Amino acid sequence: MTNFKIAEPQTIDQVTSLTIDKKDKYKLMAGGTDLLAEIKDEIIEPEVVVDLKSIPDLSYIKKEKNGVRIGALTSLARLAEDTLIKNEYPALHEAANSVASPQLRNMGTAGGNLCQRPRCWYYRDPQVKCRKKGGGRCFAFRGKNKYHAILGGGLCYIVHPSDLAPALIALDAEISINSPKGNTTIPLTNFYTLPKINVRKENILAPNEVLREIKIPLIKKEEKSTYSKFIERGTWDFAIVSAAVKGTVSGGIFRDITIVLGGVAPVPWRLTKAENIIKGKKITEDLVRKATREALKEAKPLEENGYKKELAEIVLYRAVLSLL
Amino acid sequence: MEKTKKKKRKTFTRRDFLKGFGGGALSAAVVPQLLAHDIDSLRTKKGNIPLFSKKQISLTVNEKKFSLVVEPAETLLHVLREKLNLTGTKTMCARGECGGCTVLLDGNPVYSCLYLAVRADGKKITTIEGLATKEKLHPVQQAFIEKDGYQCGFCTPGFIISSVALLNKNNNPTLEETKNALSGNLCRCGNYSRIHEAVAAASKNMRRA
Amino acid sequence: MSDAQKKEKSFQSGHKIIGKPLARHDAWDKVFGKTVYADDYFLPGMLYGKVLRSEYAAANILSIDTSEAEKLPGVKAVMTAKDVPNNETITRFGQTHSVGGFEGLYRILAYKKVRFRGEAVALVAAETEVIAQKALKLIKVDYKPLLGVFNPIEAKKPGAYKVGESESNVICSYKVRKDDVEKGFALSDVIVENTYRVPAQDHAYIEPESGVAWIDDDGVITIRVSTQVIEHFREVAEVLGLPHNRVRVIGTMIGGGFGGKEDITVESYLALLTWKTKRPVKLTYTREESILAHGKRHPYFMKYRTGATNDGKLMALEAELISDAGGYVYLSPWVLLYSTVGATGPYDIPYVKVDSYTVLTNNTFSSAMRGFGVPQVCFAYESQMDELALRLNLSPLEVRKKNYLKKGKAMATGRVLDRYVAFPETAEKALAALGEQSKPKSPAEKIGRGIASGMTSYGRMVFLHDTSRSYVGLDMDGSVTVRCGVQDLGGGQSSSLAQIAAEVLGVPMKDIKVYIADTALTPLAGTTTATRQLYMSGNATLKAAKEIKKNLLNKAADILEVKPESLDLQDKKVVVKEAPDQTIPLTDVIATCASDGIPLYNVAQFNAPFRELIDFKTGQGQVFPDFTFGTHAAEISVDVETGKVKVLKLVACLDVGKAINPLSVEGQLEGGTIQGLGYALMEDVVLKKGVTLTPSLSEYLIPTSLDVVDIDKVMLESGDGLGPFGAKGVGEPSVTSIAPAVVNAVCDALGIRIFDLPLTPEKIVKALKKS
Repeated sequence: MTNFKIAEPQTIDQVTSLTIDKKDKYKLMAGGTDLLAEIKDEIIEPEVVVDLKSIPDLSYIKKEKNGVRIGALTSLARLAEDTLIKNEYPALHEAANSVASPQLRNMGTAGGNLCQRPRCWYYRDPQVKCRKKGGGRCFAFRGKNKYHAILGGGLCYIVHPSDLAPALIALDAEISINSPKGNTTIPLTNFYTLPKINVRKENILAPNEVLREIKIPLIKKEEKSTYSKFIERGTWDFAIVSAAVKGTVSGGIFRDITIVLGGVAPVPWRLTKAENIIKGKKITEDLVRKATREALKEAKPLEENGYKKELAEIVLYRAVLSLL
Repeated sequence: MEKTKKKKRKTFTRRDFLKGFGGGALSAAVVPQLLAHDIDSLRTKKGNIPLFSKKQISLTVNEKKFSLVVEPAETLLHVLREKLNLTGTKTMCARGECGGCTVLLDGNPVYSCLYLAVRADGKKITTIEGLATKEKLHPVQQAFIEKDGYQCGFCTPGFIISSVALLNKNNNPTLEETKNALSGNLCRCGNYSRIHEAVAAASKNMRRA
Repeated sequence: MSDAQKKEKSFQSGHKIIGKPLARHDAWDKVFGKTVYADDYFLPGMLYGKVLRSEYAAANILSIDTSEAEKLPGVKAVMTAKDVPNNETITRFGQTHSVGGFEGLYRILAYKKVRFRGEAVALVAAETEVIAQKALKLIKVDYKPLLGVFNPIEAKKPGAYKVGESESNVICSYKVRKDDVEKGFALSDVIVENTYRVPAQDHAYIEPESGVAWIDDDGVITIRVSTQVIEHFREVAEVLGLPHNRVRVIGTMIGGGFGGKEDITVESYLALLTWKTKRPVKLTYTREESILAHGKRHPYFMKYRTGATNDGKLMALEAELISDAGGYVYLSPWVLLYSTVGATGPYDIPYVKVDSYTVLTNNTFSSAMRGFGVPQVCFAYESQMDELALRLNLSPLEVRKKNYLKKGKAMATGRVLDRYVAFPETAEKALAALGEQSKPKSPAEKIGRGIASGMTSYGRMVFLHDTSRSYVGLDMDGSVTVRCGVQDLGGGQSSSLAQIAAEVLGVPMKDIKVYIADTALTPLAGTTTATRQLYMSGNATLKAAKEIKKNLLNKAADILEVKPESLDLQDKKVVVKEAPDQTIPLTDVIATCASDGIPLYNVAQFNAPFRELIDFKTGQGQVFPDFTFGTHAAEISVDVETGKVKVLKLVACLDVGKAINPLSVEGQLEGGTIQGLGYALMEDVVLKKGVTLTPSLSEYLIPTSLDVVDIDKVMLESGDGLGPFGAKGVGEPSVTSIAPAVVNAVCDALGIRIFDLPLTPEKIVKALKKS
């Protein structure tokens, strides 16, 4: 691995007072599992790695009056094992449990998972200079693209690899960001950006901003949630399609429902259209499939990834039905 | 969200880096203590964050204390193999994709190939070499021998460590729990069933003991 | 009682160590993490080597500028093709017996033209790995990209882009002709015709290629390396222009090989760098480099046409096989020969025509992988058998039973099978072992079952005149030393030799010390490839041990004044068979032998049957010493909505001849089956225009603990193998027929057939949509 220096800040303020650095001379590190792999592969070559783990007290799960607060450096393993999360937010529990392998869950963090870089095989090839790496084209567009985006592509066809993101967005999570301008709290869904906004990035975080905390509202009465992830192997794989669903349901009818798909677009993809079709109606397999089909009408599959549309329908209706 | 204001002033210079970056050329094993703390720092408005191009760390490996100087880009795996001569922990992919470098870090299994040595400061690490005592094998090692839980043996240390981590938490795992606990380790000889059998046998022996 | 069972009984009698499920002699080191694999070795003053690899799959090299790299502090050597004494060599076949033909150009470092992405272009040795890596980036190579060709069917066409310099893209082709195949089709009531495609499979051995080289006190270049073939020392010597005996290769315990460490990997690079720097050098590939730089299981296009009568008798088989050799020849001609001879499978077919081609492309080169061309054709012919069964309204087992080869019958190549043929036995047992069919757990789940049979050779091609040698020696305390140049891949290769010596000499396993894999110090035993090591070196060791036993018993007979035939060796004693309480300690006999000058050691050579080349116009003749016969059975569930296949039950039933160590044999059956399962369901080296898109283990997926089930291993022991105690080889036969068994099971469940491996959810969903 190419050498770098390490900075061990003691407070978040120290990090946010760093200068914006366009050349990515420094990179923030949480669990480090994705960052170090990128450095080893020479996709990025930071001169300084800023170790966020040297800042105390960023790992916690706390239930308070307005909701549950999760420190960004909470490990995925802790999240997956936490009883409160397991009982009240099954979607988050299932998502955390579905990430990679036991070892990586011990190392990886909640915040890091939300900020993961794409797994696109062209992006991960250091010799390919694609648009995301400042080059002039997306190699997946006319290349091999069975794992790529069917929605929201255009300039770049990555899919967002995070498992937590769809689950947390479905759970109406907010995130707190510490920034040089002060601290803000925004809905997680506003965190992610499409390639047309900035093809080099997947979210709004500036190099000197820190995703500090995740907040989930307290669950409502009869609220249920689930996360369902479809992968090619028995385990330890990125989602081809995943679906997070949350809603209040009684008598086979969803009074409200939130649906977010993973693995289909450069950002977690909310299916508002499908939600509207499903809401208030008696749930049947047909209804859910029709709703998904309607919502995915705008999908523009590439040569090899059209099957993701069918998969999304199935993964989603199974997830919805499992909540009845 | 508000746009972040850009600063004009450079916070650290190319020269700052060059000072420390020749460091790769130094023979890793013999860095004088004096060099341990680099005076470079990342300057910010709210005080400097010191930058290390080397760092003195203390860690406990297999119940022995070690104090040594490491570079930031050195992984725990590198330190174990190249500096502490503990070559039982293997390099197979170096990307956290195979499990060959699994060690226990404060009791939890992690991939030492993606874990920076600087972070191991003050931690307790157990490798394959630390399981058996002079008098006897660890029950998991005993079971791997009896059940032929290995073929080429290259993934074996990683599997044994993951198995020990599982049994320390749950001394009577179901087959499904065993499979899940070992799902972060690859065995290309395809010896999984016999590894699962070995874990079951070890679990039985550990409960009896 | 079947033949096999009868033999089985007779062979079980009397053995103390053979046939027992013993812990291998290397077990303790392996569970302690003490085994010193190639990369675990360090020498004082050791440099680190790195290889610069081509970014292009097809390009001319206009110039290489290494000056900047050489200037970097800590860099001790930078080498390109011009620095290699003999950069071009010819891939030869047979370490000691040259058969000519099909010699392929092989370059140590690319010269003028690169032929695949990842081809080695330059070498660096430096004080640290980080510096070596940095130096690679300072080497400036000026490439002129060329068009390239990436599909063997395209590459085969006249006028296609030429991968090499002047040679044709078609490396070689074979034919098998048995009568006039059109006559056979005329006699057929049903004909099925399909095209099958298999991708490249990576060995994905857990240990990447690695070695350390140094120059010893006498100036001998010594290379300690993870290899299946220590006898590449001769090729390495030729690269440097040195006499063969000035290069020594020491083979380490190997962290998996599966054929991928059969070709030279790091040896020449290490030899060059240590020769240039005069310092020890280590070179270990990264995972990505490993995937880019070693040969794959060949991708094949296979057109099959199979005809049968209404009652299920096969009449005709016509096959066209095209394999993608990638950028260089390597072992492609031989892999193709295995496929060609194996193209008809274990079936008796009166009319046969096979045409096969192996073609250069600008993809990663292909070479040896466990099964060596046989799993590919097995997938095709066993898919055809199920298609025929469907058309004929027969069960898959019935149609196979009507056509299996039997002892005394000839293969399509005219070779008469002269030993026990375990059909239909293995098929019946494999199917029976599946037990009652599982019930689906949901409406979307369909259950399917499949079987597939295969015959896979063990031992090298008989015209290579294969030999092996082993040394067995007794020490004064009755401990035994075995020296044999086998490479141990983890299959228990060296432990079996210990068992054989222990059995014959009547000493416990703990008293045996085995030295392996050193070209200077152990008798050369040939390659650990072609499922040959137990067969060849097991026999050599058996022969040597028996020779010593003879000396001991003769001497003991003198002392006891009885006939040697009445004596045996047991528990470190000479015993009188009829009066077991009458014994002499082994050490006493040894002392007497030593004092009387009777040899207590022996070096024995075992020769496989030698034959001449086959007739390449008709494919008629003998290619292999013998075969291992077997059948896999699979029960799977497939989710007809998501296309996800779940394996429920797997059975591997093989006639193993005689299990020297049942634990090791089971390990082979299990491991081969799981590698084949990966081949069937997930493994796919994805290339686009020669660029590997899956150069990591998160992209190239292999089975995990959650992808497997406990495999039912049914071992038949006919005792009719050519190996020691009647053993057959199992390393490769264990992989041959599992993929088609799984595919046949999936097709049984879905009611439609998929012709391309692997059967990913994507392919199944697409196929279901089409149907």
